Amino acid sequence: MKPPRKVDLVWGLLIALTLSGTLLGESAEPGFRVTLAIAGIMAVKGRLVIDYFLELAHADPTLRWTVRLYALVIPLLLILTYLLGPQLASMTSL
Amino acid sequence: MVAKASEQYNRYPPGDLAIWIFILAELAVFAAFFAAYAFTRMGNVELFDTYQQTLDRRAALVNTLALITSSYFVVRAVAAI
Repeated sequence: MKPPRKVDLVWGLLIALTLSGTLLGESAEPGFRVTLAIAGIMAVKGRLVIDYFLELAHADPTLRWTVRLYALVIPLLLILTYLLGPQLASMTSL
Repeated sequence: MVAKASEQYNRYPPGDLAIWIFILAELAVFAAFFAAYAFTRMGNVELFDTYQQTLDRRAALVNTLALITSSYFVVRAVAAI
């Protein structure tokens, strides 16, 4: 039997992370740790897609880091919104 | 641009350059959507939480798994040709 390709393992990991995120969202009480875990899962999944599905792992560093930054900033903003929600809301309301 | 000895990379992105411009534009559009959702939700947290309960989470999970799996098959197809 042939050994699995790297992309097969990445697909399996993405499926496992998606199911873990769903389980966490369904069963855990809302809180900072759960938000942190979900943001972490988002960041890891984004990095896996960027490096293996978009094949940017060995691409030009400018493009690679531009797209990787996206997968880092969005989860960070999720955490910031959780921590500073009321303050940010007061800044955006008329 | 000369590749450093410690890091070898391809000068051009994989696939078509025009598709990469499209991908970056899509990322920008979705960033704007996320920001609009986040800012709107911050002002109406109870409303968003109430109606979030009416969404079908099972359908969302199935759609996510289908999206990941279809992307996997696209990667396999590109590698095969």
